[in-house]
Amino acid sequence: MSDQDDIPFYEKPEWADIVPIPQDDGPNPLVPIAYTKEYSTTMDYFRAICRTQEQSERALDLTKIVIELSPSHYTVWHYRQTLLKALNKDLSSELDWIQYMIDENPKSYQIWHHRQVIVDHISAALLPADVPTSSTFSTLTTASGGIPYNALSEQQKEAAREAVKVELAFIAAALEEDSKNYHAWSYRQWVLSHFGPGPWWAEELEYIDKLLETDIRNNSAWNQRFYAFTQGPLGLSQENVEKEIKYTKTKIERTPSNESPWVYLGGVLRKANHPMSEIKEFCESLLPMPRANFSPYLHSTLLEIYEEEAKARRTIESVTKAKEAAVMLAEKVDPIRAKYWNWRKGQLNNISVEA
Amino acid sequence: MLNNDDTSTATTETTGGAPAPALTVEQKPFEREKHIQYFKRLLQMLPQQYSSHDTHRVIMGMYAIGGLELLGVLDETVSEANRKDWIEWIYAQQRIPSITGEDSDDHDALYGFAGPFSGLPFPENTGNQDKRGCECGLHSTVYDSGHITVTYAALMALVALGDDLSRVAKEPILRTLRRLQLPSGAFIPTTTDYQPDMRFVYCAAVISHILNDWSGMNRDTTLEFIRQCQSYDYGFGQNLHEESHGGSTYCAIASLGLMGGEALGDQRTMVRGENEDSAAFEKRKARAGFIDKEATRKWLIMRQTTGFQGRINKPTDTCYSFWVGGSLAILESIDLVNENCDRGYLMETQHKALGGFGKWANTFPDAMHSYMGLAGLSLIGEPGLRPMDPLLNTSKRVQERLYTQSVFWKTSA
Repeated sequence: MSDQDDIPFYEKPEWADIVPIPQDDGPNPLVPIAYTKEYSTTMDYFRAICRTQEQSERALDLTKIVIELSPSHYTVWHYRQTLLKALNKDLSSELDWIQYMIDENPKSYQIWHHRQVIVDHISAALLPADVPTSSTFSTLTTASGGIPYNALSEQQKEAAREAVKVELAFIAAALEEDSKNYHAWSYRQWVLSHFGPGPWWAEELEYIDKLLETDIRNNSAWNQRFYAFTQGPLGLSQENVEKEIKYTKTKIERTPSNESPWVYLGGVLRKANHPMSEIKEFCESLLPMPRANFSPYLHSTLLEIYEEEAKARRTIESVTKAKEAAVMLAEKVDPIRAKYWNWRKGQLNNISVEA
Repeated sequence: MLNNDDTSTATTETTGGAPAPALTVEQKPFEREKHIQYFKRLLQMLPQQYSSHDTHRVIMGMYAIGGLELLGVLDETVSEANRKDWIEWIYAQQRIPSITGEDSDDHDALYGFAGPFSGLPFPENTGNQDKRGCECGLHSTVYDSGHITVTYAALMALVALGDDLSRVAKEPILRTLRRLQLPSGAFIPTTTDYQPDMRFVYCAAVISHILNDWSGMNRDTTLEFIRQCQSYDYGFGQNLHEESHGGSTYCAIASLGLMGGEALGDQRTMVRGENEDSAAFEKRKARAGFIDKEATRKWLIMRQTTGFQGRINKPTDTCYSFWVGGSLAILESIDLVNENCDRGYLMETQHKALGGFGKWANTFPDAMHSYMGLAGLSLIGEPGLRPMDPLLNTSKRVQERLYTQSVFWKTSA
């Protein structure tokens, strides 16, 4: 709250001139809410201020109070952003407040977006002069392509690195609380790409590796790994692809019944245009391992590989092999999905076998 | 570090080769009567913790009405007086062009339905059939604007309440939709909130379907956006490169289903026709929403734990029995779900005393999870619930009402 004492703002003299506008909900509203007095009175004052679009310190204070009561309110944020600009406010203290708000409401779409809007606005100084920047915060400058990091002066590069460092640390703190916070990851991708192809991309892979050491089943971290690997400036060189495949295989060997590295491996292979058959031997080598032979992901990957083989070879043997994999899944490894695996087995009958 | 080594955590592996345990799931009784009471209470008065949902209150209304509808008691529960008053209340949230003609381009992004918070006076019920809501005139600002999710929920609630939609300002809503779609194909929810994601694509698709007019949406860019949100595991994220998520996957697949026909097509299995040149083939491919539909189906199927999880390695949660189950129903694969396990989980998340559903067992119920619990059960044919239309996320009866009673459909049928 902006006030340290217990008197509500609306009982203070500086608000005496405002005529509050009550909510007119008609005679018999749908799903009425049992508003508290604090909520409804605050909103009555907010309606009055908003109606005149007053641009003042007290309006700015009021937006903060409204947001703290109702973070998903869909027009108050824009009003606050307009006020921050009109009153030429110090945006770094806004970032401090956002940090507090995100600690309190880590799953609010609006608060994370507000952070993005403010950081976008601050970083607009790093954009080339000919890029039009938004005057109302209502659209992001990223739409015009982001910051050309490599073309910046040394001093600007330093500023960009510092800004990225601060934001990534801020996001990392939120991920300490909830390592799968969708908003935090979404914002993290924006920060990485918005500031251009800087050195933070290489560090991102190290950061993700650290998270996966803590929780190898964190699929959000795996998704971020795919993002950093495929969208970053490091490139999909043959060497990088091989390294990534090896890294993922190691993780699969440790946790064969963890879906995340399996889908990741499939993703990397397809992205690099490698055939799935490339990992056939690896998969078959896992089968004798006691902790792997009941992994639905191992067996379903084998099914996929054998199915492709059967489609290519069109022999009774190859189709039978694929069917056996489906039966294994349905009956032994993954019975909760028995109907699905049996359906997949049935699909294999569509392969016309050559005599 | 427990989570990092399969030998120490997983249940099946430690058995060293024994088959997975047999699937016996306890089936608690369905507390139908308690759920009816729960939704009736929601309609009377939402408790104060719903204040933070104030701007999206009509969505809560949609869930409460929808819950009673799935339970088969909507018409007998809502009195004729309430029905009429609530329809008036929903129309009061509509933003329409000024009748005196002060309309300007600036107002184009404001139309549709809004939250009840802006302080505009409740329009008097004059009995005038043209009276449709609050007029946007020269005095209007962006702070009076509608919101795409509220518009979607208001239209759904109106149809469920039996309104014929004759006072819906169709053309202005379509103008606003055009303003809310970005060049990427994604939609933002309202003009002051630049946060595009898949949820708003779905809202735009339902609105277009209800209005029976797709001129508010650029289908080509929408399809492109939906395809690009397919992740490396073939689920869909809320935006490009984001993690696959049951909610965004539903929004993507249901949008494709509402777009109809070729939008549910699969690029992977498409074959060039004998008399089709490559340009025509590419064009046809661009009208298909799936890169690899079979892989998406598998991603959905793999989300079943007992009920369903929304993301890989996340806990099971009531609402995904609908978000994932509904996606499978659209792909005509709901019969591949293990109903017994799904039902067993949902029965656990019912609140024994209050009715309604929480996200997990022994959690407090809320409007959204309570509605989704019923929707999930309806998909797998629970007795005592009306059958669902998975695309519109409503009962087949309400869907039928849209086609037979609304002004946008009945003349064209």
